[in-house]
Amino acid sequence: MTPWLRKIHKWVGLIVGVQLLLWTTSGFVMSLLDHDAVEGKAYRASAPAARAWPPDALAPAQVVAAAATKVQTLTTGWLLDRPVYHLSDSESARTVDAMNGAAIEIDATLASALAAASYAGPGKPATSQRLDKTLEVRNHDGPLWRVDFSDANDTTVYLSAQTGRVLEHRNKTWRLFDVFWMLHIMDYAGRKNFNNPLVVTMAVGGLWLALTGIWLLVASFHWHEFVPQRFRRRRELAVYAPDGTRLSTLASAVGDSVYVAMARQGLHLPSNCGGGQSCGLCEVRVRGVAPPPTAADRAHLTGAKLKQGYRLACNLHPSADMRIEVDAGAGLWTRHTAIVEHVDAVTPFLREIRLRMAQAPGPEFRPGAYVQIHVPEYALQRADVLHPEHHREDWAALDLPAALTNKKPVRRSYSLAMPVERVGGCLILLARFSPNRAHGKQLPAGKGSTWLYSLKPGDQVHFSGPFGDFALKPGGREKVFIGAGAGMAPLRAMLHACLDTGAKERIHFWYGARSLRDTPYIEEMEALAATHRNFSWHLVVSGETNAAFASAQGQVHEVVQEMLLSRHPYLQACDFYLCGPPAMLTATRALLRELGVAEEQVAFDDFKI
Amino acid sequence: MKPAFWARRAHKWIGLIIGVQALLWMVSGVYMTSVSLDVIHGDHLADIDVEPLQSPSRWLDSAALAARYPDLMAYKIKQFMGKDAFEIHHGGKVLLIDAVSGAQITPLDESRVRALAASMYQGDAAVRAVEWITQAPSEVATRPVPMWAVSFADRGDTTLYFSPDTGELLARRHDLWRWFDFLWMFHIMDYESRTDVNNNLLRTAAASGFAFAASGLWLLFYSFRRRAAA
Repeated sequence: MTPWLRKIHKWVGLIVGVQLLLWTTSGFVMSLLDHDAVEGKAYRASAPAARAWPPDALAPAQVVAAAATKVQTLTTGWLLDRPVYHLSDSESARTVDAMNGAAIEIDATLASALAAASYAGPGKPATSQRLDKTLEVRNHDGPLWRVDFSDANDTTVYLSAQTGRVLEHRNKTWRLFDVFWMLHIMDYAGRKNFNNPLVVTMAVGGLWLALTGIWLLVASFHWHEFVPQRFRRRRELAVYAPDGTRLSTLASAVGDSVYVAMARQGLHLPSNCGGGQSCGLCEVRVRGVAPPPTAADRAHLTGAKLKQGYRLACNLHPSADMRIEVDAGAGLWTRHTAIVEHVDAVTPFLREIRLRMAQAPGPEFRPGAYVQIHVPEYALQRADVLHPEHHREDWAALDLPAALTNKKPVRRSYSLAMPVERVGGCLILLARFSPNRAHGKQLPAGKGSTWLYSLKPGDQVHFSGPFGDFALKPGGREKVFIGAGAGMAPLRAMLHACLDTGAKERIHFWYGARSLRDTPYIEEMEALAATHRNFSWHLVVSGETNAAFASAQGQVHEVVQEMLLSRHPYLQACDFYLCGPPAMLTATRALLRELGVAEEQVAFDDFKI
Repeated sequence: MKPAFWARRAHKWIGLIIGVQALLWMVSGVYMTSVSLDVIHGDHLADIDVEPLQSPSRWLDSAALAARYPDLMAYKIKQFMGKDAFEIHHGGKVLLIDAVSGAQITPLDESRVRALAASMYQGDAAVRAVEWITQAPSEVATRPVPMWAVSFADRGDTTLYFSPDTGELLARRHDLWRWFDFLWMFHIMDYESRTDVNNNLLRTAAASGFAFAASGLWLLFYSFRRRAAA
């Protein structure tokens, strides 16, 4: 039940979330704005003292008889010092002089005087304006007068142009209130009708959100959490690698999930959602007797895995000492040191960095794996970001700030760009420089890439890993690699791994780049294609094209679709390996889904973002 | 720790503080938006169609009026139960007289109010009770007392309130209105007068609600990525 409610909660949240923010914001502002100020009470004159009705006034019967329409009510009243009769019928209202029966026309001067009589502030009236209608007096039908006063509140007095009656005092507090009122009731045109279908729909969505939210609140709180962590009892959490090596033992406070207990020690299990039973990445295996799986475990893990004792760490609350196994667990603890051996600016904004580790890398450094580079705190000058002379123009166009700083150590993930055995046990990383200039807005340059671009041979680098489940699948099925930008890295490592071990299956590599200048390893790919008959490589350029190498122009997934996938006789026999920027990845995955390619046939790497 | 973790933690703990109020806001919001305001106002319960004045020629003349009420301040001529009537304001008092005969109509007695209520009421139910009210119940707290309360034996427990001095229909109350008012109390968190929208409790709660919604939106960024297949 809970995973379902969680799903409903987040999808409804996606739809109503912004309106909820507007409801709470507008609610807050309206509660802050003083009601009397909104009503303009401070500058309202008190009602004039009642005075005796003149006995010599015209007989009302005479006035009613003289009226052109059927009068429904007649009321005595005063316009300043003049006794009047207000007459109303089903359509309209009007005012006549009570002494002589003459119809009174409310002109600009009279309107201004009447407005001034109802007003007690320091302002002076401006010239009256006649209006047919206004949103500021939305409940009044019929013509009206607007009289603005020159006070700090921008007071405006509205009067009926038929009867001279003062309708409203408006001011800037009211106007501000009114905007928030509009946002609150979601009637953007009339600002009046809170029974409109839009607000009803949103409110029903909000109610769903609240109901599921209350459930989730109860489900996600563990009563221990109300006790500060340091007063809670400790349990021992022993962490093992899958091969049985004991990696570490940590103290876990009762009530903390395994995910939280590990995170408190700086050990971040893979997770996108931050421990919300939402992404299913933080799986661990419980050694010994595992607690019964929860609904969230069942939603994310297969039956076979559940039987083996796999559980989501974010949903696993050890109440006694516990032993768990973490895949790639070793990687979380390791802190490898390596020396930069070589730096090669393969394109203006793609840099190959060769690292030599102190010890030879093990088999876990396989193609598709990635490492987390520990980026330290730094304060660099613009000149510390290195680039060769022939890329000068490209870099000049970036307009980087003079100082580039990182105030907190961070970790950044980079895929291996070559099988380690091919390069004498070195790690090859391919780092793209992210100037982070999106939509014409200048954002700080990427913290990781800035630092990596300042590295020179001989510099020291620390990293953790390797990690990741992006890997070549066994079995010689036809392979289609689709990549773009820095997505070259893991695909290149995989390609080399296949071809070097004498793969016989058909292998396609489709790579998208902005321009030829931005494409790395052109010669290398050409050479591979020339020596391996089963391998073909296709460059798709989205910007200017220089037909010499590029196979086609356009977006890589569109070109692949047109030139390969739509013509392929049997896509079900292929494995797909994708890596590239999020937009390209999403589009390509959607495309493959449309073509009926099963999820198991598609492996992808999402740059760990 | 990761931002996703903090977002989740923030949302959860703020939710603990403001969650129940958020539910109350939503429940009351759904009710107030989905029941038409005209229904809440009870427009369908009582008809106050105004007929034109009938017999100006036979009205008491101004001199007679002035003689009877030397301290006359203001008056209004309107229809009351099918006849023209003068609503006289004199010497701080208000009363209704027949416009032709000058006979005093108000203060209304119980049978008169019963007849008046029956003539306005649009439902089929019978009058259940007619009460003389000297202390206004909270549902008509803003109206002047004394007044007549006429209750009908219908499903909505309709009550019509009348002024004994002018015969005016002061308020229409029924269960949908009473629910609206009750939920409005929760919506603005003024549990005493149900009218103060500037109370500090509401202000604090609304600010927390804002933080709650913002943390929820923040969390949405992390909630849609699933496990990568590989």
